[in-house]
Amino acid sequence: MTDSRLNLDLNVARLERGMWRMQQQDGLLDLLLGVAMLALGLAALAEGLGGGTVARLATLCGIQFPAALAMGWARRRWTRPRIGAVRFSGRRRRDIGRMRWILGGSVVGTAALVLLTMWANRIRPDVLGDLGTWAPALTSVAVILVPLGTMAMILDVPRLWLHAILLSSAVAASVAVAVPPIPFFETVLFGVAGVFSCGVGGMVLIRFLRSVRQTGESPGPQGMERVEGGSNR
Amino acid sequence: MIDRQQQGCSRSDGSSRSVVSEIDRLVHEPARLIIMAYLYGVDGADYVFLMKSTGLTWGNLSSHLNRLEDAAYIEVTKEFVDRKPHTMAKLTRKGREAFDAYRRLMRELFEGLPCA
Repeated sequence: MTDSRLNLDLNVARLERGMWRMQQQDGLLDLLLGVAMLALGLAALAEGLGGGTVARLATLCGIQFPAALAMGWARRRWTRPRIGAVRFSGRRRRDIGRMRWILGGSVVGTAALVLLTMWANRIRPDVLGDLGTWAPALTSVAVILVPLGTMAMILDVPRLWLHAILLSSAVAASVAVAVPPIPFFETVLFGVAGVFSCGVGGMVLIRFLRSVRQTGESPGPQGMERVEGGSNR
Repeated sequence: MIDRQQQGCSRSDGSSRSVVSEIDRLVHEPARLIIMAYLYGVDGADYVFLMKSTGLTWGNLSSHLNRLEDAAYIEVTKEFVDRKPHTMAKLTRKGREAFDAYRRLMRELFEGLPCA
């Protein structure tokens, strides 16, 4: 007798893609990106309150690193046990490797941009000069959209484009727009973007926890049940 | 008179019966078929994932996986992770060949069926 609850989709490629996408449906990555945006806002606040660049960097690192560790812990202990483990094929593993290279290159490129900007006289004026005040904004957008867009494509999570656009818009606005008479404008910008992203992540996580219940393997003498006879043909 | 050749209806009933008799019944059972379809696209999946994905109950899944393991279509590795049992299933080469053969046969069967 066939179990009526069986998912009878037999398109192997579609099944594999579904398994891949399921790995990111817990909303934790969305929450991490939201926290990153909030961290940027708080870092700007710390700098604005007189703490300077050191306070900005300390706030950023002080929030981001624990947030990333918390996400890793939550995924390992809380969400992944609910969906189970999958070992993907070489193609997916190569995609992840490629993504790491792109993200690593983006981090190195961003660091290089920061250093070059600090060593301002070494930047060739004709490269960025025509762009004027938009140059930093456009550069920031590129170093945000490229890595997040890459993650969205390789992890197959279109939702990441939303966070990428939010973050790059906030960065571009904070750099290129003439500061309006709003106290701590940058903090407000990143705060709003961060709250929105965290809201999206929170909703996805709640939906995940409600729809995917915790079930461990059924304990038995050999770690699984053996059903004798039964309805199997 | 309908020209069956022009309509692509080329096979007689006898040949279709021959294809049907070659179907691997171990693979043909719907629950085992969907399990093998999930395992075909990846290098392995654990029992929790298979249970969630297929919609089978734990006992039903275990039973089908035992049948597949007995036929050497899958290999099962058991370990303890954080003091909890963790069992991974993976299609063997024999299992992949059986699944490929099943797909070829089914395609052949349906393509060869006489037209209405």
